[in-house]
Amino acid sequence: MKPMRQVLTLLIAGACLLQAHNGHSHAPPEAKLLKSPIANSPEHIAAGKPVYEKYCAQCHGADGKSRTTLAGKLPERPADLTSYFMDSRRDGEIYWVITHGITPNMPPFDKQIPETGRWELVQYVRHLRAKQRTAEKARLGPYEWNLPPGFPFPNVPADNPMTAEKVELGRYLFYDTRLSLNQTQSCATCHQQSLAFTDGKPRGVGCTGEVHPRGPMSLVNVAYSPVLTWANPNLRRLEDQALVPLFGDDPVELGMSGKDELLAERLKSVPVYCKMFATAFSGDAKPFTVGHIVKAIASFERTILSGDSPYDHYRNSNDPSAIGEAAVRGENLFFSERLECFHCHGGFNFTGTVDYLDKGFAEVEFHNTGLYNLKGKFSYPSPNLGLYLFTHNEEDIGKFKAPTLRNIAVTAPYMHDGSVKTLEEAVEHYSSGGRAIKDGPYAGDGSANPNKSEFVKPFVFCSDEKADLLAFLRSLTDERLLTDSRFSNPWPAGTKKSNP
Amino acid sequence: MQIIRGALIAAFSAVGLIAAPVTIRFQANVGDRKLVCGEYYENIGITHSRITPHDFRFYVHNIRLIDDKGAEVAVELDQDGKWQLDDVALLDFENATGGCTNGTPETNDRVTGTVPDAKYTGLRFTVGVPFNKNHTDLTTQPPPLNLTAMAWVWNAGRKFMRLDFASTGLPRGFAIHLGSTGCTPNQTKTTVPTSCSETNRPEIELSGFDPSRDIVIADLAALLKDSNVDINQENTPAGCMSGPEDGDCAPIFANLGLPFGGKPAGKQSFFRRQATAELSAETTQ
Repeated sequence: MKPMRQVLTLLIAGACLLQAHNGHSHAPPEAKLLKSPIANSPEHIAAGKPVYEKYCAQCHGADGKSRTTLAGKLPERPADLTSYFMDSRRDGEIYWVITHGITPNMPPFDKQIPETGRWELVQYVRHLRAKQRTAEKARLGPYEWNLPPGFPFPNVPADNPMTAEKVELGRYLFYDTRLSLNQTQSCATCHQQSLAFTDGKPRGVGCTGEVHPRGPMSLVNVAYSPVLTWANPNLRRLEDQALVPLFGDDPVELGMSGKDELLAERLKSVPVYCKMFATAFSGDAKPFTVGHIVKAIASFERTILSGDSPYDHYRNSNDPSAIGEAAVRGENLFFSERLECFHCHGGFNFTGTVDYLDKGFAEVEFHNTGLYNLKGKFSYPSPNLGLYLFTHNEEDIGKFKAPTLRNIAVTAPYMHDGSVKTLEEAVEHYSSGGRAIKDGPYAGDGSANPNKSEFVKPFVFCSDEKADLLAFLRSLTDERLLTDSRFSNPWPAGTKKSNP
Repeated sequence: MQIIRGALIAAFSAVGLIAAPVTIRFQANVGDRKLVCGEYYENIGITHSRITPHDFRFYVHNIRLIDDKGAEVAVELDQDGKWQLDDVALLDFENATGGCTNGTPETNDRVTGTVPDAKYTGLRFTVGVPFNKNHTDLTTQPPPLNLTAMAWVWNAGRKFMRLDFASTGLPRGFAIHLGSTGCTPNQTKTTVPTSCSETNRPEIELSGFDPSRDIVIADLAALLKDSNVDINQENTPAGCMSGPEDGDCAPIFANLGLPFGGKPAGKQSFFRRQATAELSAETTQ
């Protein structure tokens, strides 16, 4: 290979890698608008099959999963055509890739396959994904998920399969103040729909007035979170997490420790629950149990899915103007190696800590972002020592989970302790590579924290770049989610138990 | 259960030993007085504080008697469907009255089971829930592992001992929650902790213990004698929730015979043996 060609190959490979950061299609935005001249039909799918087997199967495999010998030898691994992200691709984008190929991986097929044949091939590729999706759905049971485009099926604990009845019961419980000892708070007190299921406060406040050391996290897309809360590596299932606010003593949140009999008695006395518990847990002699309460709440929480923001429309539908030019520039900055945002906030849920059906490995990440650098043994203010509280390893002081950035514009204040008031301040925190606190008990240069993540490094915003990045972050707000009646308070207005 | 009991008796008979029922009795004291919800106790700790109990319960397991040849014999616990499960038992000294608002009306001051019929001169037991049962799902476990007040949900385990009280300086409460800390899963897919760096299960030995004559006294005044229960270390839970950073735990752990903050395990002084004859003498005084 001549040196010049080597450089060119590297450049192209580099460009591909850049694209891989954001998981976007290789096709240009205008490709979304290409319209198929043929209608979807079983005949066209059937016609696409031999074409696929002749031209595509060698790399992508007969099943579309791209687990072929040849696939492994290509510069960039060919896409798994049965994967969830194919649901976010438009027909036009698939057609464009078939027509133009992907340098240097995939040749163009515009010469070998006539136009109609290529559109039939698009239908066959879609069919491969549809088959896979049906198989996945069959494993999860009959529940209708209504996933946003480009979202995989979540993992659901085998002992708590989703049902519409449990979800609805969970919604009633989520908004019911009977779940707190003094009947003043429900889950919704700290997880308010209009604020993407956060509470707008720096730190949560329990029903006895005790202030939680940390702020309530958004519940949006929590079905995909393999670990829950800010930095507890042991809380893996929503069913277990729900026990913490209910029965925890330090801090007291809902304050029901030792009061599970009382809780059951209270719920039994509500006519609507008699029917709901019996239907949701039919065949169970004792429906009013703590186990059932947390299973129902967890089922409801798994339905709080957000993927309908302007940015999603820009990416996944035929609307390239769904976000403004500033947001488009901000997107490029977000996914750049200069800003490094995507390292911890990547993927469909804009967080590195993610799991879903057949992912193979649940990814769990905790990072120290240089918020503090106190003198002495602990560089972060107690009791918020992060992952350290569980591992007792000094390298884990100040490590917390990167939350999803979906709806981030409505979830101020920021960070585990709410110590960053605005989104602008949060962005500035990262551009300075950590936070310097001049005086007071927390004085110290956070950017020099010994545990700080290598991805949190200072960078300089040129011209309007900060505004562009903010415009991008604001384009992740899903307005529909904030008012969607499926997630709102089911109790009739004015009833004592409705909350907040 | 009957079959197991029968098999045990058969096994013991074969070596010339008959299984006999045994009861290990416990009593919660503050000094010489019995612990009662709703009462108060003075002269506690280094500040001579006055305390009012809110809760006192603890799990024990791995209960053994020592025979007159010095051999250890495991007590086979009765499976009563409530206080005892496999080799774990819950002792409960609150009755949900007085200040003990998070409690249960039922109390339990004994462990019952069977041992080979012989003379015993010592008792050993471990405070807490064994590792294989500690990190199980509260909502699916049989009693006594299903109590929400004894669950340590944040640490995905159980409180081995829960001793809550109000003191002169901390009227809202000083809570001692003993349990394993530093618990982590070793791989990302694991749903429960696979190890804990501080297991915090006190090993208790009471020599000379004869179950037919003696009872086990858990003495709160002895446990707290080196503590200042009127103040709380800043930025830590009120009392001692087993955190290695919480200096309030240091004297308590020492009296439980547990290592803490780099200090090795010492001799416990919380539990002691007392003959029932001495007890009846006390009550008649």
